[in-house]
Amino acid sequence: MTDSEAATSKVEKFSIVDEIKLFLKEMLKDNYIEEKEIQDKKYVIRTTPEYVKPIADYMIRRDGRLVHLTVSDEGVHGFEVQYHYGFDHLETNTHFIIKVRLPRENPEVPSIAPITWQASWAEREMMDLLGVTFTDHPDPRHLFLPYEWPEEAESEKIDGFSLYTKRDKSAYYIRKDLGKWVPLALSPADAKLTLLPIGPYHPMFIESEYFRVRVEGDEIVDVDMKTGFNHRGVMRLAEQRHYARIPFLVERVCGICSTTHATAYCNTVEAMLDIEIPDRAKYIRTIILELERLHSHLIWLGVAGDLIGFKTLFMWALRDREHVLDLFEKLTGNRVHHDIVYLGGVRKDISEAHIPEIIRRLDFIEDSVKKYIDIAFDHPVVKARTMDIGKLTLSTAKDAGAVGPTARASDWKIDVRSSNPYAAYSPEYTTWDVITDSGCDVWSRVVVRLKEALVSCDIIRQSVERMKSTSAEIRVKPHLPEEGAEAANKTEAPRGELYYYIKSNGTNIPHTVRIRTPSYRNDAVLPFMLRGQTLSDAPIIIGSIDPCFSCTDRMIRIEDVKTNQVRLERIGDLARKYRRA
Amino acid sequence: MGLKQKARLYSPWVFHAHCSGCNGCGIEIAAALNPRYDPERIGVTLHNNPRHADIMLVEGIVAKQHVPFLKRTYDQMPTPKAVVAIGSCAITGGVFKPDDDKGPSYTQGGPVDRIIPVDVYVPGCPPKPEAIIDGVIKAAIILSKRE
Amino acid sequence: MAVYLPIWQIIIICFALPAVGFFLGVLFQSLIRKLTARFQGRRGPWYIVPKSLRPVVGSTRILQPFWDIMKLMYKQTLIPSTAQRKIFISAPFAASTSLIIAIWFIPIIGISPFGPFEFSLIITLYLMLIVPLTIVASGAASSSPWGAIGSYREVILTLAYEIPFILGIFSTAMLTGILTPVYGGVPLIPGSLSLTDIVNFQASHSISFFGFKIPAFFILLNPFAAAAILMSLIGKLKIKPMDIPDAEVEVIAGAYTEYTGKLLGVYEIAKILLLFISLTLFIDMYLGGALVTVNYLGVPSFIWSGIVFGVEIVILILIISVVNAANARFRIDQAFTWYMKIPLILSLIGLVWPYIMVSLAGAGVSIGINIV
Repeated sequence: MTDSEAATSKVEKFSIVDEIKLFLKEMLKDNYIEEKEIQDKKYVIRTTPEYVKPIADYMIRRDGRLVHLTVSDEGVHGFEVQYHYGFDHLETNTHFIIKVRLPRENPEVPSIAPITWQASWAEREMMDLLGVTFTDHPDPRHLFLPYEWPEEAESEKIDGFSLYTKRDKSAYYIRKDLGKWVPLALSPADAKLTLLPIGPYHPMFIESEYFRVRVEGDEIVDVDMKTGFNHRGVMRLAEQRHYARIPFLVERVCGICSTTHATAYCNTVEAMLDIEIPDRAKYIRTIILELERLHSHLIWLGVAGDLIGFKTLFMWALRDREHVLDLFEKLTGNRVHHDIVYLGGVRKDISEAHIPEIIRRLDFIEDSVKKYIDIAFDHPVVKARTMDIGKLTLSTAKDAGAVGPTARASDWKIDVRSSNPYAAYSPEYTTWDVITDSGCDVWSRVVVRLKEALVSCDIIRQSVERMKSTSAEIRVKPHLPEEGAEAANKTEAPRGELYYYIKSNGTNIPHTVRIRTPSYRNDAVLPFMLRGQTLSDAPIIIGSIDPCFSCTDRMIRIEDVKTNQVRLERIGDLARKYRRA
Repeated sequence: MGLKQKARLYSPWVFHAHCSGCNGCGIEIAAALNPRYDPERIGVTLHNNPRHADIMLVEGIVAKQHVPFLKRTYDQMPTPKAVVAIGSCAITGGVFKPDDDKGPSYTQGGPVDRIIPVDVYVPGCPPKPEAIIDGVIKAAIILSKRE
Repeated sequence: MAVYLPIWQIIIICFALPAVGFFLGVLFQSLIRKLTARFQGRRGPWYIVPKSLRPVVGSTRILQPFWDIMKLMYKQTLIPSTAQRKIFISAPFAASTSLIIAIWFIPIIGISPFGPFEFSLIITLYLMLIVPLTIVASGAASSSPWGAIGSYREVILTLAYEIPFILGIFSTAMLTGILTPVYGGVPLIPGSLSLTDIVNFQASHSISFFGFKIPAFFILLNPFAAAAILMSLIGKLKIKPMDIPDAEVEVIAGAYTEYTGKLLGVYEIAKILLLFISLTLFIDMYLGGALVTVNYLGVPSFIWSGIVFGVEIVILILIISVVNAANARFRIDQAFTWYMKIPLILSLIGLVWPYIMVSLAGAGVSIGINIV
């Protein structure tokens, strides 16, 4: 890098945060109510509701990502709507949290879903959970409450319609027609199209999910997805529990990526308390997190193999995964929920005696992963089933907000581990590369995940090696946070970016806990991949994002493409039009 | 042991119903199928169709939205049938039960045995694959004694 | 050699053969499951159960497919209210019955109750084709969308594999007629369509293959057709790359989705009989029907025939299991294209191969094969 380049990049680096702040000050003038830095490069800016749309427009145009949108209940002060914009893919750690206050009675705020697709689900979720109205939302349907939710009667009074007949005809339709599907009783116009119920129990998913797929011949025309079957109310439960007990709860959000949830929670609380955990704990966290990524990618490989009918690959991947689980059992005591990451560090040390076994098993896993890469590159049937299927272009991925391996397979270099370093991922601890692939199809997602597994092995080796020279301290004692302290933090789960936001009210129970899981984003991208594909490919396309419906609990819908009722799918186009105008 | 009992004991076909669990039990069921445990040695195979299954493995707190589907799936299974509740959530609600003992969480449709009759309980968070296979064999023994 | 049996013996064989076929089919199925499991790194159904477990799980699981069927027979049979009852109920029986009849016409180690029945090959092919027809009918009648899609896939797959299958079968049947006059030996019926004749031809002739004297297996005389037939059988038996109509992940169980209890059991019986018939047909057509006519070492010839039959079956099942374990599933359009590419071209080569051999022999060119 020459001097001038370094100088420009320095200017650029200086400018992102400052430019945004300057612009916001210019735009908001008197409404720029409050600004504070809650952590390193994470800024909270308070403003008034009428400015959320221009801000969103500017932020998205400035290449920002809407990481999450959430509402916090502030009691007598009303509701607080928070827009979490992430710029960490441009500059490390940079985040802006725009906050607006709404009155308790009749809380209304303009919707930003027409500007970015990434806000759509989050706004619907908040309409469900807290009753805040986002006006002009293009699709204000219930997101993941059950059909039997008692509000139905209330809204009937207000609107003169039942909630589901007005807002969500299809959901009502699903339920009514669930039992009586008679293909021969179709009208001639519909005879060409076949409606297929997929789920809630279907071999396609380990978890339960309800899809309604409209196929014409073998081609998918329309997908309708009802989630929320796994809604367990984790965020609500977390707001009723002591800080020290929450790690065990959030680990149960997902059984496959449990440690990363606990790490994200602990990171957030530690950032809120401003404590630094010992180096040894950082390395131990990294080892467990990367082992988890290994086992997650291996089980994903197995399930993906099963989805294209490769039972042998399923068996082999699960057999090799057992070695990772053995390591887990040895290091943490548990096979699935490890419960080792804890506030202020870790609960258990990794002794010297375990290190040779870790290395031995890693060698074995690395060899088998290399074998699977060979299979992906050479097996003709596997290639025939995965190549050029489920295309997700880079621009769509950016518009819709794909994260994790799904985004990286579309050649987008985002990885929280490098852009927002936590545990022992920053360059002073370990060195590694972000894997990307430019194929944009299912096959590149396979390859990206497999290569990431190799990178994980490498990171574990480095951590194990450097852990030897650290002090024996594995945990510092946490204390209670102050009132009003808040923090946001994220980790790279095996499926992508996992975002946590916690706010304290001074007691031993958090005031607000908000979780945004990676599958929440990637599920939103599914319709872009599914449309126009054949039904035989649907399982592997849905499987290719490694969907974790336990994490998601949300709902999505695309309208029929062939009858000009397209609404949601074109949100990206709409946003582009809006930006041009 | 007659032919009927023997046939039922020797060929338990299993169906996995995921009812709002965290996936932990689900992957342990998947792990129970892997070469290390291989239940096909004793004739246990996973069938993803309730119409073909003899034993249903239920996992998770059953969310309210899930209750009708679980009932429906249970009804779709031909008799004789048996149900195995896998994991703490399916048995009591587990970690997703609120602390204040004021009843279940707002989405919980109740433990599995409030919705459909359960024959075997396999506790654990999640139970190990050995325990799951043991539960299936116990359910098969119960099944073989049914009419 | 063909023998005409008295009528009472024919009746006994008519009843005994399907039972034997079913029993052998169960063994074949069990072997396929075991071998596939071994390729996947698993154990598969236990053939010898450890002593400590015997009180609970029995002493052996060789007959695992049989226990599965018996279990289904003792289960409740549900019929969907929206199904077309008559077709739904009769389809599995039609499949099993047609296959039971097909067994009568296929010589097993040379035994066939109807002797050298004239068009037994045509009859067998026709009866085997009834099975996909019943599957299509039952899928459509079950009024399940998965059944409808399973039927649609079954139709396309049947169309795809049936063309190379038929072409391959007839190009092989022609061998009996074409080769004999040119290569010498006793001219039999020209181009016989009787399976017994085909078996007898292979048993009574032998060829010198680069100097080695071996029985006149048609797999050596027309390897192209044999390969095409084997590839078609993979589709007929729904072995891995071609198990598209009942692909579990995509269409649950395809046409069988709504079938329960006894009706599903009858379908399972049909599957096992189809496995037995397909393998036996292949052996009859290409591996000399496992017929040994000489009493080697003083042991009766039919025991030798049985041993040869077993060995050949194991080799075939080994091939099937490897294919089953080493492959992912094709998409239906890919399967169709594949069948139109490789097996069809192979079977077309197989169709002209006898003429090429004849003209080569006529021109005095040696290709290393001589019928003695």
